[in-house]
Formats: sequence, structure tokens, C-alpha cells
Amino acid sequence: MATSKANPTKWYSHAHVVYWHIVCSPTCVGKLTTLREAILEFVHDGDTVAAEGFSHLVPFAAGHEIIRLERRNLTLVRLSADLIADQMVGMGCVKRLIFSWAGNPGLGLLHRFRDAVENGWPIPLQIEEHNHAGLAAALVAGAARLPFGVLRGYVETDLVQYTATVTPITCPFTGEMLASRYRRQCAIVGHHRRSKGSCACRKESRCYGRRNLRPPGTCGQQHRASFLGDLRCGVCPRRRPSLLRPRILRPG
Amino acid sequence: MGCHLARSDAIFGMDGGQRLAVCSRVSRSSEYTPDEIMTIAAARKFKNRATCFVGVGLPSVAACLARALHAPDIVLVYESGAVGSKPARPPLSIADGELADTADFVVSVPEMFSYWLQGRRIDMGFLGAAQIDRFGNVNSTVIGNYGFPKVRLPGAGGAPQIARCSREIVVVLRQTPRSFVAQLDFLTTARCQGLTTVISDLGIFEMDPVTAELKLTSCHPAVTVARVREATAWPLKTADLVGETPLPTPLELSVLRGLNAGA
Repeated sequence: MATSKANPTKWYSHAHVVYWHIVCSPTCVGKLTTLREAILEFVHDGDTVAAEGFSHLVPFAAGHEIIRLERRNLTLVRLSADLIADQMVGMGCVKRLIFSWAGNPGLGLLHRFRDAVENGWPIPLQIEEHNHAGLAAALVAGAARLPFGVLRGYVETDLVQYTATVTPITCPFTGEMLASRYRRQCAIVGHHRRSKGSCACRKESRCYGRRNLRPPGTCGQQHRASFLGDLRCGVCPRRRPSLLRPRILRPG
Repeated sequence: MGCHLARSDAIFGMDGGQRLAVCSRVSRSSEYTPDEIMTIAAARKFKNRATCFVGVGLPSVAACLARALHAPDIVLVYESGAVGSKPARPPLSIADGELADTADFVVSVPEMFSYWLQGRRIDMGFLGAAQIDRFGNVNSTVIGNYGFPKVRLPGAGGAPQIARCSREIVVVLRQTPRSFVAQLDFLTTARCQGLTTVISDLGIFEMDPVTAELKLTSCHPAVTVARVREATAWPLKTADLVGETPLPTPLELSVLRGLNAGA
């Protein structure tokens, strides 16, 4: 098991990318480690952590490991804050939640999140609320190392009053647009278990994170129409050509 | 956590059989529930060959129903990135594997919001809501004060962008004076620039082009205008001629119940 130390001056260093379990090719530049060791090394109290992945790609194991290791005062970034965010909030790991939708998809509301926001239990939760388009634009801007992302929207809604990281800017050519920005330290992305489903903001999260955790297999396994959905962020040279090879869609 | 309550949606392969039996008992009568007529009325709004952005829950069931009946060539777009999905059963959530499996292709969330929505490639958007006001603005963020909420709801999600960038939106929600309010607790989604239709379990409302206010255009069968007014917290305007929503046909009902049963 490799144990090379992350070089803080080179955020793009391959050593920052951690695969857990063992599936990745040994020639993949990165570090094979267990999830527990990865969280121990990369997620510290007070960190900003983005955990992305939708529905069946939700990084549950990583979230549970953070709960087990009793990390505190985290800032959690998650577009669709769902059950795992709810559990982390309920266990008091999260001080601040940056999200655009917080619910149990298809089922209803988040009860621990509600308790934290409505009653301040177990700890008061600070929230920074966006909409999907805004947070996605912020991630894209972050991945490109731009100070902010620009999009139409927000202006006419009440969110602008409550979210300090959203500011109207005037387009120098035509009219008015909006900016949102933020920084974070660690990205955890979900696993493409059965090469189906959407990749949500996983690519952008991965490009943005200074330290990335991703499970094995995300490297080689692509969902259909993979060239549209998921490009690697330059950490896996050997596997990369296969990503660009169009795949034949199989029914069923 | 509500595990003692009935599920809102059937879990495919889990309680399908049981629910099928329940549904087949119901379908023998000509009775239908308020939710069923609301779903059917929403399904009728889907135009064939239109590109429709669909949220999860009731709009998603309506989309499946429309595709099974009058709009087989509809292009369904889900915010998880699936474009051109052809789900055989209502998805459990917008990132259900069924949607990606049957999609023409799958894009990332940033691409969905920037190229597809902001690029105005969507004809119709279907939204749910907790509160709506007389101008068609929607709240799905909080009930009560934002800082000290009475009920904290999921929040904006993709809705503001859908309403802003679609040519037409359809909002589907159950009607009570608490949901059809005079003043929103929070403005999550500003009304659509284009056409807005609101479908409730009591009737159908459309935007008046002059006053930009919702007016009642159609009552569901056996619902009176007085009852709709009772369930609306603002002085409701009605169209000159308030029609009656056509009764659900036996075909619509049986397909809908089949979908809800996960069959």
C-alpha cells in the first residue's frame, strides 16, 4: 500500500487522488488505500467536503466512515443533500451545509436535517442554499479554477437575500447575470456500480477537489454515451483511451 | 421515520403484487381519487413530440401515462441527466437506473442545466410545489420564517431554472387554502415567462395574459366553483366560461393504476 505524502504545493499531484479497494490498475497513478485510511488522512475536522453522486452513486460508505471517525465542524457540499447528508447532520458531523435541494428523493423530507434547521438539534446547522443550476455552475467554475460561475436565474427569487455567495453582476456586453463562488478541499465521488445512471457533478467535483477520494472502478467503468457524460481529470493515463472509444449500446 | 405508513409509490418487485390486487378492486368501479384525476389532467397536457422536463413524483407518473397513451414520441428529460428516457414504470427518483437505461443519452448535471435548460431546448416543464400564489410564483423552500422555519422543505432544486427557461410550465399540486396562498412564505421559483398552467385536485388554472393572474378555467367533475374558491386563499378570478374537465376514461384509469402498481 503506497503511503506517499500529499504535496500541498501541487494540488494536481497524482498522489492526491486516492482509490479505495483494489480494482484500479497498478499503473494508475494514484494511491490504493482503504476507505478508512483515506478518510483518516484526507478529511479533518473543520474541512470542506464535497460528496457528490446521485441516487445509486451516493457515497454512503464514505459518509458512514466520516461518522464513525467522528469528524466535526465539516462544511458539506452536496447538490442533492439526501439520506447520507441527513445522517451526517444527525450525527453532528456537519456545521455548515451547502446544498441546492435537501430531501429524500421520491420519498419526502429529511427529518434530521429538519430537526437541525428548525430546532438546532443536535447542533445548529448553518445553511448556504443554492439551486441546482447555481451550484453546478459553481462547481464548473471551480474545476476550471475560475473565481465564479455565471448563469441566468436567482435574481427574481428570495434566495439572493439569504445566500451571500451569490451576487448579481452586469454582463459587460448585454444585460444582467449572476455569479456564485466558493472553495473546498476534498471531493468524494460515488461509484458507478453497474455502469448506468447519471454522473451528476462527479467530474466537476473531482476536478475541483484538492484531495479526491473515489472508489475503484470509477476509472474504467463508464455509463453509456460515456464520452458525453464523464471525462477523467487526467489522473489515469492508461485507462483514458478506453474512455474515448465509443461503446456499443447493449439493450437491457 | 414513517415506516409504519404506506409508501407513496409502489416499490417495483416488492409490493407490486399486493398493490395490483388493491388496484384491480378499485378499477372495477368508475370511482377515481382526486390524485388520479390530477395526474390524468396533467398527463393530458403533455404534447406529443414535445421535449418535456419532468420532476419526480406525480409529474413523472403523468409523463409515463402520457407516453403510454396519446404522446408516444414525447422526449422526456430528467435533471439527473437522462435525455429521451422511455421508462416502462414510474421511476422511484429522478436518478432511477430505469431512466438512464432507457435514455437516448445521459449528460452531466452542469450540461443539463447550461446547454439544455439555459440553452432553451425544453418545451415544457412539469413542477410540484408546496405553495403557489395568484401570479403563479412557487414556494418549495420553507413554511414560516427562513431563519426559524416552521417546516423546512427540500428547497429549490432545479425548479427555478426550469420555470425560467422552459417555454411552458405546468405546476401540479393539491389544493387547500394553505397551498393556494395570498402571500408566499418564500419565493423559490418565479413564474414562467411563457405559459403557465396549474393543475390541482379540484381544477385547472391558466394564466390570464392581461392581468398575469391565475384564473380558473376548468373544474374537475363533481367540483363546484364555490368549492374551488373555498380552497383558495386569494379572491379567485374565473374564466368567462368555466368548463368541466373530461371524466377519466377507463383506459386512462386502468393504465394509471397499472403504472402505480408497478406493473
